[in-house]
Amino acid sequence: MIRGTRVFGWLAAVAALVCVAPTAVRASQFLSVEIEDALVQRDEFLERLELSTEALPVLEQWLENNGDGDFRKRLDAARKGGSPWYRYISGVASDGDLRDRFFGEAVQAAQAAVTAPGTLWLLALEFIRGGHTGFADECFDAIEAYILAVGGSSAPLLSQQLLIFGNKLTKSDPTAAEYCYAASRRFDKNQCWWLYKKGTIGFPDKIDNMIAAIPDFIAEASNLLTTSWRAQVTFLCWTYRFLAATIFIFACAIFAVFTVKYLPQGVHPIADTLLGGASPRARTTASVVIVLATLIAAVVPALWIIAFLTCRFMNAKEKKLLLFACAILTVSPLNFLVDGFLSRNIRRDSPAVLLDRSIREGYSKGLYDLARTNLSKRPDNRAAELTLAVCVTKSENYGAKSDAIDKALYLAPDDPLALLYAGNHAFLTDDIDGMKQYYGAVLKNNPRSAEAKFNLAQAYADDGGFTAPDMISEAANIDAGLVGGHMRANARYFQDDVPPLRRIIQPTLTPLYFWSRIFIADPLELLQLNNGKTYFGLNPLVAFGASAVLMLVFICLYSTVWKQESKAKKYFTCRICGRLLCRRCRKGTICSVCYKKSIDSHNDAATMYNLQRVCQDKAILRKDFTRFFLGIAIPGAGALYKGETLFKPAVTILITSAVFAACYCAITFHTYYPSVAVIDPIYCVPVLLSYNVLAFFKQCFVLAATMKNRAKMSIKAK
Amino acid sequence: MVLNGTLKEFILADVFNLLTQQRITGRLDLESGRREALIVFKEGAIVGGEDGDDSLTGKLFNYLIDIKRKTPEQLSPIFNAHTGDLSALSAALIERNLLTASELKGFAGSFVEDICCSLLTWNEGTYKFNSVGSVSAIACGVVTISAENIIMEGMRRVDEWARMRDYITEDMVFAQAPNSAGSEIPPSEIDIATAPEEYIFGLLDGSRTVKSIKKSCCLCEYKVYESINFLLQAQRITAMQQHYSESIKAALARKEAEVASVLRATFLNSLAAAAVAAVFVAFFVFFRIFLLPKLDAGTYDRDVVEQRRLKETSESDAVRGASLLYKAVIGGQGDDPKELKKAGFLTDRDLYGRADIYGRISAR
Repeated sequence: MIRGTRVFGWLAAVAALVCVAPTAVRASQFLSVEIEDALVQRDEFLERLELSTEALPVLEQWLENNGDGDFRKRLDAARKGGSPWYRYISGVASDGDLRDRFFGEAVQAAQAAVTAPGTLWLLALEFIRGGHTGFADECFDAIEAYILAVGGSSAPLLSQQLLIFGNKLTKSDPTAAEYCYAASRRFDKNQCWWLYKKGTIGFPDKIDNMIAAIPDFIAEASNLLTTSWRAQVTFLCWTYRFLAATIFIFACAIFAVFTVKYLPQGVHPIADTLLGGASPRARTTASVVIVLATLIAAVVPALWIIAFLTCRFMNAKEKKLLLFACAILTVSPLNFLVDGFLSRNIRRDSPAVLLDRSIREGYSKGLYDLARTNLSKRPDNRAAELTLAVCVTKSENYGAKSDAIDKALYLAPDDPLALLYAGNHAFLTDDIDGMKQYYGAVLKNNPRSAEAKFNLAQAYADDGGFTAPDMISEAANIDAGLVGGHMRANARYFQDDVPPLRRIIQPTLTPLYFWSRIFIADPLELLQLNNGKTYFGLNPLVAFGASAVLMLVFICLYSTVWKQESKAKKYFTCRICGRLLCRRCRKGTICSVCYKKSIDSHNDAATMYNLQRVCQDKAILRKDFTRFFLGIAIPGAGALYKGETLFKPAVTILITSAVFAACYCAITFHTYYPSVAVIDPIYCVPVLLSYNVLAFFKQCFVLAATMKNRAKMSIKAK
Repeated sequence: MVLNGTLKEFILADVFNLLTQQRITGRLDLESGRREALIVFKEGAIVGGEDGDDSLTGKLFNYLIDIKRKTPEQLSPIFNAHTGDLSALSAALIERNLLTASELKGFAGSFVEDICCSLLTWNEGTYKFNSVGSVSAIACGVVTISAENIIMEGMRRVDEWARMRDYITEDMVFAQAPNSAGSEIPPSEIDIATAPEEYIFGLLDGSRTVKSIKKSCCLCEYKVYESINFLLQAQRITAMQQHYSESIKAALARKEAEVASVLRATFLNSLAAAAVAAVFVAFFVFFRIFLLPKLDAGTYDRDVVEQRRLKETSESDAVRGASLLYKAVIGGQGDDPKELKKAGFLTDRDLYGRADIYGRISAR
């Protein structure tokens, strides 16, 4: 039992991580401008060689066929200017040591180029394709150094492109694909899809690879969920969406059962009022169609109509269940507000996302413009202000003192992130007093802030103080991983020439900071965010008010009229066919159809008795088949339709609703990550719908058993 | 044992004799055109029978209502509970004091005799006998009539019935004679075994044809004719004169016309109901397609635009990233999303975000 629970827990965790991980990763175009510029330069160079870009994938072969006289002349002519592409193509055209020398020179030339990261990136891709992963490593090292130098820590765009490129190479060159997946991690440590893709190499032929990758993937995804505020918010969001969908589907399922069971009776007043004179069957059918037509316009109002029409015909337990379903309908308009509140911080243009980007990425004009636009929309939002402050701090124009940092500190004087960036700005502008003031303020509130301690040590070092090494040592004791990693990276990439932005540790947006300071900030923004969400053409709050009024009327009617069956029983049934009648449409005890049949049979009691039996048999058969189809469509609904018990079918329907909600979430699932790199949960839908296949077989067995029993009785009778 | 043949080769009386001699138990099914009948034998004696819709169950039901004055509500549960088991039904009726054993025996005996005698008039058709172990489900268990008696009685009736049919036809209407005193016997005290004419006398109200009486009473066809004949002989009833009969027929025709008119009106009203339903459906479809989007867009246009913009941005991120990679590793423009999809860099999910769909579905 415990083992089963544990397995279930694991499966649930994996499912949750699969949903969370792709949506939690960031969409970012950091370095895209540099890559585009590099592409332009590369294409211009290739044009000079009269070499089409389409020839690049098969460059070596192309050079074998066309790399003679004229091409050599053109290549030599392009030598001037020291283009890295000249060296790369020369390397491809050569072999042995000469090739390696050319490639090495190409990397060095790319590092020196104006469009360094872009050119390095393009060269790295070519090296991977050519199987020269050693040179690709050199390119990646140079790109990483560039990212660190501009104050960033990751470039998700590169990571995503490596995953797609690896996906492309999986079949032709699995080793290169594996290299791409492994390399994708270094540019975005907040994703675990490189492990997943690594596991899929050779799948389904080599299943061992996948099995071996699963534990690592789960561990990495779990770590992501623990350390990433975005993963946590996304998890919360999808959990809420799943639960909200489950409850809403549950309510709809309850309404579906009661509609099938009671609507033909419930529409009787409509039939009397609108369609008097028509045959009973036509009246009922037309009235049911009219009521169901309201579903076309809007589901929720139609459900309210059905609730009011059918409630009086239910038994006490069913009425309570309907009341519960109506309560769900009442609060359903608030779903927008809750969903909006939970997801507002993971929107692409949310202050939190932009702040996170500004912290993790280096300075870019695009991000700076976004931060300014965001601030103009939310003038008093501390995260928006801080985003601009971070962008300004990372810009190379340190002298242009922005009031963004001051305003960020004005809005939140004790905000550790604002103080740290104010300190960073002070460091970059050689304001040692400022550094001591801001980092000191951070340490006053949180003496265990490794970043503040390390950065303050730089101030003392610049000041010529002797306490700096001690403080660095203290910072390392507080967070050895952070300080050690920072220093190792500096030593690896920059040796003695550490760029200013790397001399200090850039703070990160931690889950604690997010939940305590950003998540609950600006609650009124919620109303603005949900301004466009309409609920049957109404604002969700207005719709909630209307639903609440309807619920009150419903409860009043329930407590005064419908609860007492004697008051509700204004209707009776035809004693022959069981059709619903009221005093308004019939005076006697049989309906007009049976009355006519009775006249036709000259009031023959035996004929009427036979008629009654036929009607009863038909009704039983109809009920059996209705139950069968309901049981297939909504497992559990068949038993609720039968009406013998309530609790067990209701629980089954709740489980069914959870399955349907999971399908719904899988279908509507969306991610900013490249879909070829992540698991698509839509493949889970057939698995989930196998639940209905099982229900189909179960209902077939039930129906077969019922029919068999009836046939036995019939044979016995004969 | 299985025995079958045609009534042209071997008349029913001979079949009865054969089965009696064999002292056999089973059911003899008869078929002539669309008519079907059944005679039940137990150890060579006749114990039950049916002729089309004339079944002991139906006639018992009518008997209990017409003679015993029971209500259908009172009887239906019992008859439903013992559907297809005549012995059990008989036992239940006796157990609940709805009928005494002797009453049941008399009524059922008379019924079985009438049915069997009427079957002797069949000149053509087929018969098929199947021996069965138990006949309790198709016989009430209180009737045992020897086939010889049936044959003798049947032969007598054949002639008499032919004579009665000469002046009593199915569409004739009879009324109580003007000078006859009404039946003084209350319905519950009528013994239909000994005085069936008293029962039939009560049914002749001057508006019902012989056919309708035959169908709705608890007696078989022969007994109805015999009773009417007896009442005519006793001058207690009189056949309606031709013009009276015609006026009644005309009244009936008028009534039928009225019924037809009501039916026509009902049909037209039903068509109108269908039309009303169609109008409602059309209105809601129109509302959904044309009015509701305007209502949404008219009130919240700004935000709809904002949502679209966000969606486009999210799409362009994926497309732009894939486009860059396409240009880098394949060459060419790489601006066409279809080309990117073909190259395996994008899927439909990147091109058509589902976030908006979720929102729209929830809104409805």
